[in-house]
This record gives sequence, structure tokens and C-alpha cells, in this order.
Amino acid sequence: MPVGFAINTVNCFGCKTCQLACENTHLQNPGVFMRRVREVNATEGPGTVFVSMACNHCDDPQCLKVCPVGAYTKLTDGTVVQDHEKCIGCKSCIMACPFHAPTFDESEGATYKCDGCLDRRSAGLLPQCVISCPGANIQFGNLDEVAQAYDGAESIHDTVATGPNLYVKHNENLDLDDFKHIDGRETVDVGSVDGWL
Amino acid sequence: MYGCCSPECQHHSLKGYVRDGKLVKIEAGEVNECGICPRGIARVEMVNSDARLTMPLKATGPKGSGQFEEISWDEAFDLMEQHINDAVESDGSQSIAYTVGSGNFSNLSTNAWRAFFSWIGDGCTMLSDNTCCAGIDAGMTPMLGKRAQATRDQFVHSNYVIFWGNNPAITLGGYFERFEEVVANGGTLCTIDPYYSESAEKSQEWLQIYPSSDLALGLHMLNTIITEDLYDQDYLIAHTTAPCIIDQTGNNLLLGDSNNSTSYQVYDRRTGQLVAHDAQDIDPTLSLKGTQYENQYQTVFDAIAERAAEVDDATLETECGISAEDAKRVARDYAHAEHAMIIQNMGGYQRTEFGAWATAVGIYLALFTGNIGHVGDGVYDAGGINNIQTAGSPFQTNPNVTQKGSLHRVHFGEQIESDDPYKINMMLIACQNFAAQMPNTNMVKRGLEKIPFVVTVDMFMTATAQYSDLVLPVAAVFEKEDVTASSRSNIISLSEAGLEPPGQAKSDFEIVKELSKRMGFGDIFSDTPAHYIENVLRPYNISYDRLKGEKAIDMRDPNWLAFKGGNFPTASGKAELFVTRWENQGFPPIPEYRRAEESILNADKYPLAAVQRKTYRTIHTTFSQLETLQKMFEDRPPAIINTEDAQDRGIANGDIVTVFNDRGEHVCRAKVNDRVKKGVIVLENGWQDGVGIDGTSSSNVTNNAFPTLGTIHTCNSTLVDVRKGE
Repeated sequence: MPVGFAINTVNCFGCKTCQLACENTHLQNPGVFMRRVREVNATEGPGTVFVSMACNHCDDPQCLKVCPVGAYTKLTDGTVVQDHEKCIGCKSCIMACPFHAPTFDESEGATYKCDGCLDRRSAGLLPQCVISCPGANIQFGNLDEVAQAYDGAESIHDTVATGPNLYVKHNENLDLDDFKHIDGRETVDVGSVDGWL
Repeated sequence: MYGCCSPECQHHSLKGYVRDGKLVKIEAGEVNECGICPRGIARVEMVNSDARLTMPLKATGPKGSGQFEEISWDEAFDLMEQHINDAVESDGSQSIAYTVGSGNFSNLSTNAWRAFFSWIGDGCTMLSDNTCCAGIDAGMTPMLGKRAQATRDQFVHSNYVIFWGNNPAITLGGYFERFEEVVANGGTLCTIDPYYSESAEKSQEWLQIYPSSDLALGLHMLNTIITEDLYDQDYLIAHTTAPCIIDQTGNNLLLGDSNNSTSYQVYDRRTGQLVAHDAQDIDPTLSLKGTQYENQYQTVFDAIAERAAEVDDATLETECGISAEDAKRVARDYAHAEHAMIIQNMGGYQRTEFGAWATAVGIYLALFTGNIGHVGDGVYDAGGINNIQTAGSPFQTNPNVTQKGSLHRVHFGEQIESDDPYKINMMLIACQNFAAQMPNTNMVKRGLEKIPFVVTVDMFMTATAQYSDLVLPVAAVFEKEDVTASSRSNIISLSEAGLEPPGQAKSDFEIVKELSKRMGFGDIFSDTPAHYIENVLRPYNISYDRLKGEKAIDMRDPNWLAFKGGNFPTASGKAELFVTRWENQGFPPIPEYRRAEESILNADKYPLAAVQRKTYRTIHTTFSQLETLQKMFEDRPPAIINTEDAQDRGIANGDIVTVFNDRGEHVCRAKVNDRVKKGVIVLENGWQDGVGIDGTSSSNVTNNAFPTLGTIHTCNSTLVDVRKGE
């Protein structure tokens, strides 16, 4: 089975420790986030659903398809990695990704993307977002394992054509279909987004 | 390298990674009570920030102008020495004021200043009052004997948890998953807040009451518990002064022996006589009704029941803006729960005009239902190892200090203007952004303007520093050795000095050490930080070398419970429901409902009730300069406005707006939604006052009413209006 993330949006309370732990671990410049916690308006009631998401290591990664310099590779375990040295900062991958997962560093003029903390994993460690979440609301691993991480978690695999590998535990405040438009590029019928971009 | 994150928060041990002499990464240290948060990680940016102060700065323009020149430390010390000596010579040492705040709870920082000022003459004037949790100081402490007895390890064992006027998703972030475990185990979370907070979202109950009306809700809930017979009679008799008899003045408890201040009298059913509350083989009654004393005396229980009954359903619905049925359901569920807990957590609701009583009534609810002293119950406000075993004093203080008159933080500007209690010639501010955090900014600034020589010690240029004559650059965590044995964490953690401070920044201790040498204070500060850390650790039987090896030590005793078994360290050994200390301040010894002067129900000129919420982004104003956190959360202060209130004023989501009243103005960006009750506007605490950000501090509009019971900071009893534009 390929690798992927699972998140528990029912328990996430929006502290964004994962987002900054990721930035800090990869020594990114301030404000360059490979993992971002989106604040999505709840489908019911006045509340917010916090959706922590980085790269979903899709089956059919669009970043890999559109990159003009061939910076992206899909490893045998499913991890989609970027060879940062090759990046020319054209942002094609960001636009092509249904989740805008790659992130552009203005000061460097180049793009970064989550590799599931490949170096940490090769040292036998969990990704930094996973260990930093104070509520243990992010898991990473083989899909058959992460599918079991949270009771009732569902895959968003079939919501968009790229086949993202993300399991989401959610309640009535978040529809899986919301992931089609998670950054509000198209009209979002249920819930708007405090947008990125 | 290890360092403690020690603002007014949970005091995590952080592990810092250094590359080429520069801090590059922070993770949680191995020994902590819970996970860390983004603020701790953002210390990487904070330590490395180009905005750090690197040299002493001397003002070259009027206060607030931001005009400074760099001077040498020699010149800075000369200035301080001269102003200290001049102040003492002209008006005595009490004409020197100082305030040390909550920006750094590590033991060598604020204590160095406290000790230093004790050695000037017979001591200086320290600003009094606890602006953070004066409500709990005035409410919980006299009732239970002490406060800050942490129940954090009991959260998971609770079945019903009330978040009263606070938002633990933010202010107890690392522990919040314990509350989610309560839900997973079938328990209930209830949030009391005018705003649909992050904690309300995770709660099964949400009581959206008006600001300042918590006291009414608490008394109404208590009335439900009393009238529906849901109280724990055995607990009240065994562990509280509920059965004790009030004397005929109504101001004191009836004593059996006038020489024994705790010889409280109770009615013994067996003998039909009044006897001492702690006599053996007695059967006290909670009420005197039906006894021969019925027309002569009242018990504390009877008096409380009367006060509670005054908040009837109609009063509750008017004052709180919620339905009486909702309040009754929560009261019943809380009373019926096997293990019920109230999270006061130094919440914003106590920073209201009668907030001390609101916290006290919360304690009544816990005591009436027998919910203090057992697994999974209690009232949580804060607490750390320092509240269980007091940390040692790092520095020797002057034993000949005399008590000085009170210079209240919340009334600072007014008192300085009228030289009350003294003419102040000099003031020092350390570990605190006084001008941005104290209520009624413009009065605070007027006070700072009047004082001839103000010194601020900080890492950054702040609103307070801008109103100072001398600004001293202070070292950050990882740049100075310190220890944290505090009242917020049960971990004692070491802060190591692994980095060079930028420019010529020095630790508070080093500044004090040099000044003391000049002032001729002998050897009091002449030793190494390690020596003073040993002093702090002595009561714990921990050596400096052990802490140096382990970096952080978990001091928790797994068998410890707050007020275990319902035993209270009061003079009587029982929870004191009748508080004569309040009487001394002109308030009755049993709380009664009083409407705050700046309640929305009294609104006239200013129709909106403003509350200030805490954020994931800052602790007070600490971290407010950091670009990373601004990008993750907000880059200018928001004002959260109810949709109807916004429409009435032509305000749309995202508009720049000005919140205002007679005290001042606060420039924000409007967030328009229905998460906030109509008539209420939610502001954010912790923004710099126009220094380095677009916008100002919400303290510009907040209420600094004085005096109040407990001299509370009443920022959440504040009426305002809002208009579009700056």
C-alpha cells in the first residue's frame, strides 16, 4: 500500500502547531508553509472546521505532470518528492495541485513541497507534524494503517481526479466534497474559506 | 540546548538546536506535562529577529515620539545610578516605583529586580494588584485557603466539565486533548462564553451569556441546585462553613469563644443546642428553619440560599440573555455528574466588575455538589510545583523593607497624576509591556509621561519602551542561564545559556548585578547564576548538577489531589463560604447579584459590550512582533462583530473599523459573523499599541474601574461603539 496522511478534524482545535513545526523542521523562511491549517466555515452552525493538510501524495500527482523541469518524482512507497535544486519557481505545480500543496518562497523564488519527512522516516522517526500535534490528530503511514487511525475516517481519494491519499475523520460540519474546492477556487456551496492565495 | 518558555503560560521545556552559533530549530523537550505550541517554536524567529534591541537607548524626543539614541551601558548605568540617588535624596526611596510583569516567570529575572529594589533605602514602591487573576485571588483564596491547586491530571477523569468564561483550546492548548477524551468517554463539555470559541465548538453545551453576567448565571444555577435538592448535604456539613451561624450583625459568624476566631457555632440536632462546628459527636443542620433559633439567626447555608433565590428565572433571562431552562439543565447535569469540574483557568469572566464574586459562586457550585478534593473534580485556575512547595528565593532581600502605600496597576495613571500615594520620581518596568496591556492605555501613558525618568527593560521596542526615557536591551531564552520552578507547571526546568545575545543585550540578572555593584550593595548579586539556581532548588532537594544533567524534572506526585478529601488550608480547616475579607472592602460576605456599571443592559451612549479574547498567536503581547505567527493567524487586530450590529453600521467583513469610547480608540479589521452574541463585540488581547503593526491595543478602550472588590482589572466590563474607517 502507498503512504498517506490521516487527520482528525473532529478533534483538531486549530492551534497550528503542526504548521509551524513543519516550517521550523525544514528550516523554511518565516511564513513559508508546506503544511497549512485551513479554517473552513462549518456546514452547520457558526463554527469553523480546522483542516490540517500538506501534500496528499496523490496516485496521479499533477505537480509531477506539469513541472517543466522534471523536479518531481513518485517513489515506490508513493511519496511524491521534489528535487528542490531543479525548481525554477514557475509555480505551475501550485496551480495544478487541487490543494495548492506546494508553497512558494518569495525570498528564494522557488517552491517547496512536503515529502512526508523522508529524512526523518529513513532514520526511523515519524514526520514532525505527527509528533508535534498536541492532540495526536495527524497520522502518517501505509494507507491500510492510517485508514484505521481514527474511527470512521473516510478517504478523499475519489473527490478529485488526482487520487489523493488522505483519510479524514469528520462530522456534519465538513463534507468530503468540500475538498474539491478547499481553497475556494470555485464556488463553495457549503462553507467558505478564509482563503490562501 | 534547553530553555523554558516562560511567559504567563504552561512553561514548557524547549529543546533548541544550534547551527553555526545560531538557533535554527525548536522541539519539545523530553520532560513536559503536555505538547508545546507554535509560540514556543516561534522563539526561533523571536531570538533571531532583526528587531531585537541590541544597545541601551536614551530618549531624544518627547515620550511616545519613538526618538532614541544608542548609548553605552556605562552611560546607561550612570543615568540610573544618578536618578536613583536623586530620587532617594529628594523624596525618599518610596518615590521610586517598579513593576515586574508576567513576561518571564523564570526565577532569576523578576526576582532580581524585586531584590534589587528592596536594597534601595527601606525599599521602593512596587505596583500592587494582580491584574491577571485578582478575581480568583479575591474569590478562591479566602474561601479555600489557597488557590492554584492544579487539577490538570484529573481532567480526563471528569464526566462533566464547565469552561467558565475562558477558552482552554487556546489557553490550555497542550491539555485540551484531555477534555476531548472526556467527550470520547461519554462525558460533556459546557462552554459559558458570549463568543462561539474554539472550545465552544468542541462542547456539547454552550451558554451564550452577556459579558459581566456570569454572577447571575452562577447564582441561578446555585438556586436550581438548592431548590431541587441536588446539593451534597454531608459534604457541606463536613467540609464547609455552610451550617455555621451568622451573628445578628450579619457581618460575622457567631463565635462560641470570643478569643477563638474559628469557634463557629452550629445547631446540633441531637442536643438542640448551639455548639462548636468542630465538636465531636454532633449532628449539625444546614438550616435553622424549624428550630428555636429560626427567628434569631441564620446559617450561612440559609443566607446563600436567599441570595441565590434573588436571581429568579426572569432576572436570569434579562441579565444573561439566555433561557432559564438552559441554565437549569446545565445546573442539574453538573450536579448529577459523578465527577464534575469547573475550569476557571483565570478566565476573562473574572475581569468584570463583580468578577471576584463570579469566581466565588463557581466555588459555591463545586462545594454544594461535593465536587472538590476527589478524582475528576475540582475547580481549576492554574498551578504548578511552586504552589505545592514554594521555590527558594534566589537572592537575599532587604529584611528592613517597610510597607509602602499602594500604587494600583489598574489606577496607575490617575494615581501618578495626583501623586497618590507618593510623588514618583523614577519607575522601572521589566518583563512587562505595561502601556499596551494595562486597561485604559491613555491614562497609563499620561502616568508614564509625568514620571521624570522611566526605564524599560525589554527585548523589543514596545509601546511601553516608547514612553520611556531609557530602554535597556535584555537577553532572550537560550542566551541566559535561569531556572523555572513556577506556579504554572509541575516541571522544574533549566534554561541554558548557549547563544550570545545580540549586540550588548544582557540578562535582567546581569543588569542588576552591575547596578548593585555601583550602588554598593555588597555581594548580594555577585555570584554566578548557578549559585542562585541552587537557592531556588533547595526546597526541592534538587542540586544544580542534577538539573544540569536532566534539564527538566517532573515533580508530580501521582497520588496528589487538590484539597484531597475536601480538606482546606483555612483557619477553620473548612471551606469558608462566608468571607469577612470582602466585608472589609465594603462588600457583603456572601455574594449577591449586582449588575456591572458597564453592562450592556446599562448601555446608552456606547451600545456594545466589548470582551477581549486570548489568541493562539500571543501570550499578552509577547510574540506579537513575529511575522510567522502573524501570517498564520492575523496580521492586524480583528474586531468580531455580530452580523446585525455590523449591518446597522454599514460595516462589511474585512473593513477597517475603529472601536471607541470616551477612554480611547482601537483600530481593527472587522470580522462579521454570527459567532458572537448580538450586542457584543469581541476584541483580541495582546496586540502591540501601534508599534510595528497596523492597529492599536484593545486596552485603549478597556475599563479601569477603581476600586472594585479585589481591585480587579475590569477590561471585560467595557462599553464601546464601532464605526467604519480609521
